[in-house]
Amino acid sequence: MSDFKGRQLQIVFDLNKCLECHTCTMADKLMWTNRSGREYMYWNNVETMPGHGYPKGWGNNRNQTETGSGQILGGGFKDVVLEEGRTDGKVKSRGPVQREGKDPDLENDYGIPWEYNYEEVFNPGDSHDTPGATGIRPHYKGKEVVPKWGPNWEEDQGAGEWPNHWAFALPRICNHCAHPACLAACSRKAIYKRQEDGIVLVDQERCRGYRHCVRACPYKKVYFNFSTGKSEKCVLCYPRVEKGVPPACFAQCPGRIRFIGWKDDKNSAVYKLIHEWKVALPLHPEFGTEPNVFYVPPLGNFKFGGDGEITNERVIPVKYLGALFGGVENVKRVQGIILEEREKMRKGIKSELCMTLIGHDNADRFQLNVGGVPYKTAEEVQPVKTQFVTPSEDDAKGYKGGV
Amino acid sequence: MGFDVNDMEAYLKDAIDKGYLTDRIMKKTPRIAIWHSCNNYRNKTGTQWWRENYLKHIELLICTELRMTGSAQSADYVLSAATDYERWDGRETTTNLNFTLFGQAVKPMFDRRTDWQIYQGLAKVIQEKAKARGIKSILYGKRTIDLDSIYDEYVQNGELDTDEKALKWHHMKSTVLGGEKGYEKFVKEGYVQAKGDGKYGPYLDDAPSRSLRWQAIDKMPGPMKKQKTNTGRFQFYVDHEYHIKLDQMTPKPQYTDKWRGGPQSPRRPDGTPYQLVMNYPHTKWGIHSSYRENQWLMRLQRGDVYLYLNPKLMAEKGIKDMDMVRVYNHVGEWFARAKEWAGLPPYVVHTEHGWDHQLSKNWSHYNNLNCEFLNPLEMAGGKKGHIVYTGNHTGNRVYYETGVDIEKVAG
Ligand code: SF4
Ligand code: SF4
Repeated sequence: MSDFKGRQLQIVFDLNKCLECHTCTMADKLMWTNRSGREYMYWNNVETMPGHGYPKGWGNNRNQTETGSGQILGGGFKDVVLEEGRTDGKVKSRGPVQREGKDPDLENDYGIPWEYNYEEVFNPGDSHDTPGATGIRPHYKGKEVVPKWGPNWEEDQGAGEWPNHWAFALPRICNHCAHPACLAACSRKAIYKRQEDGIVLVDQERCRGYRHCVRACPYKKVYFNFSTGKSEKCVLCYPRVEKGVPPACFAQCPGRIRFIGWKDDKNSAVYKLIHEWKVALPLHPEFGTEPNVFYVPPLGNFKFGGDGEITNERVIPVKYLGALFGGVENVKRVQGIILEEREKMRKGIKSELCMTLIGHDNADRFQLNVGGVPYKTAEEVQPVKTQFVTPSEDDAKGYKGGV
Repeated sequence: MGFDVNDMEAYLKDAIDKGYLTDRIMKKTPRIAIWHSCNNYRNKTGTQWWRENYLKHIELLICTELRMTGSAQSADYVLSAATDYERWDGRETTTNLNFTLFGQAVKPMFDRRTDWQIYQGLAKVIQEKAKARGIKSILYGKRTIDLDSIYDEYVQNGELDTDEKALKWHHMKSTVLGGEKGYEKFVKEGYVQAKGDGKYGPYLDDAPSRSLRWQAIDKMPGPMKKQKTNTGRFQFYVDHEYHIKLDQMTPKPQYTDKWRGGPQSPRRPDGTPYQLVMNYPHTKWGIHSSYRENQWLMRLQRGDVYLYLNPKLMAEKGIKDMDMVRVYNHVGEWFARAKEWAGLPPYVVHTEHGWDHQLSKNWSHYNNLNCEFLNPLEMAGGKKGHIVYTGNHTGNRVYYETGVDIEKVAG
């Protein structure tokens, strides 16, 4: 495949701001993945790093634990050489796509989407304060198992030891790569990258469910739908994006960590962060897919010394961050710039970088620029004529709220 | 924290003598209780002692609840309450400026009623009965309650006899919700932004809802209206006599090595200190929420109640991640699954609170492991602007109070 020539949306997640609240995950779940064989999928997920992540052991050569050892699911391209001196993960040369990774297992690597047997759990047994439930707990409908994995299984676990334990949140969606491994691996040519925005989609008509894409995506962001027998993935909410509305997980993020805009729009926040300030780095550029989601790496807090005093050393090892975000040098440089700019702000000098990262208003973070405005709300695009009807006006409700 | 049962009695007596606490709680035990919007058994410390000692005195316990919670199970009557989706109601939060509408997506299902309906209904019946029995009014503390007109008063002679009217009335009374125009926006768009001076501060466009403008920026705490904090002062160092006596003037976030085995260590009845201290702060998965057991949120956890343990402690006890653990002390036991967390000192175990007992093995609860009804720090009072509790308040947790042992069990 030759280089992508179309227009590309780019994305920045500022990890220093993520609250690990999973609102993004729930927005995605509500919008796309709560039905029809998608229950186990998390097109958007948030995982505690370091850890095995979701699915368990995603990555190539190393997984995302502190040591990088244990189960590794594989994928990506062979023999990747990155262009030197760049921070955006541009690839100089790459070998063939690696399709021979492991198919993640539903029970062990994703985790069964449990259906709780609420009736059994909440109803009393012989007396009012003894449980009615029997069997293995927790009480799942149908299948009685102790869960083995889940989308947030390692919440807060991280690494290191008290009081210098360390962890940070890593929200992940499909990277809508410029050179997608999923697309390269598909022998049916069912995966395509849209010219108008670079969104990577699986054509549900063409897909035959071979799952080469699942094995080839090193980020494990393609999921196999066991009900339909086809592969599915994050669609970057393209029906919204086409109309200028940011994807649901972006719009809902209370931490305001998410930025979206065009690679060719020099005024966009994403352009400034990725290409001007170069403080947003791709996740594992060495996989060779040229991801379009970029991360501002976390600074982390300071280590405690022996007497509980605060030292100058950061608690998150930069070596680990380097392994995730394209090398220690890149991460150190980004951290240096951010600390310097923060220092400016402390002295009362306005820092353009800090203001961009704060992104006070939606318009500061979302520049989709459809119809001459930076972004639109879902309500603007699809107005709801009557959102609420007062009880007194609503005869259909047949209810007035009195006694 | 360095006090025992006798000290506790002495604090209580002292607090009442000095007028920090009302003596009503000592004079008269409650006979009828209505628990509203609060699952006490889930939230309160010393659950089993509550059940045993409190229920003994109560002839009638009424619970307003969404489902059969632990508390509702003990009630004589459960008044089935409408959920947020079934109510025409409003809410403010402490984090954003908007007053938000509960737009009643559906009318209350089954026999559920909204809060306003429930209490209106109760008031109505009380008034009818009072009239029938010829009771005019009763004395409650210093207040007289007119039972024969309690309903008329409640609904202001019919003016507020529906949720809708009550909500509008509330809206129009507010000084920050924009009156008639604000109300129009509120019911059309589902929210209205608060603007202007509230009771404890101004609502500003570019600041959080609790802007603390008057207190922290303009530094004008004082007795004047418009210059008030809740207590009249801001405290980072608490200089109340009880706090000084118990060495709790500043928050101490960690039960450190220094404290272990010392006078603050929780002990077994034989006087030996417990190996572990248990800690159970707010959960991020349902702070003050009725939906702690929501399936989608549970899937983002481990599907079971869990206990965080330091890996060294786990190795010592032969416990592996996801094993079932019995947590026990001389007052009770509780079961949870082990979750490894190196972020914890090896002498502290930790769970996130908010679980109802039905979610635990054998319907046990971590609140069975603690026994404080009252927290001596919450008996503080006086006229110097310290934070005061009313005495009706059930104690918050005492941070280092609960000592436990753990062991691996089947299940
Ligand atoms: S991150 Fe998305 S576009 Fe990139 S290889 Fe994986 S599924 Fe394909
Ligand atoms: S990305 Fe945003 S919504 Fe998702 S966990 Fe972080 S702060 Fe919450």
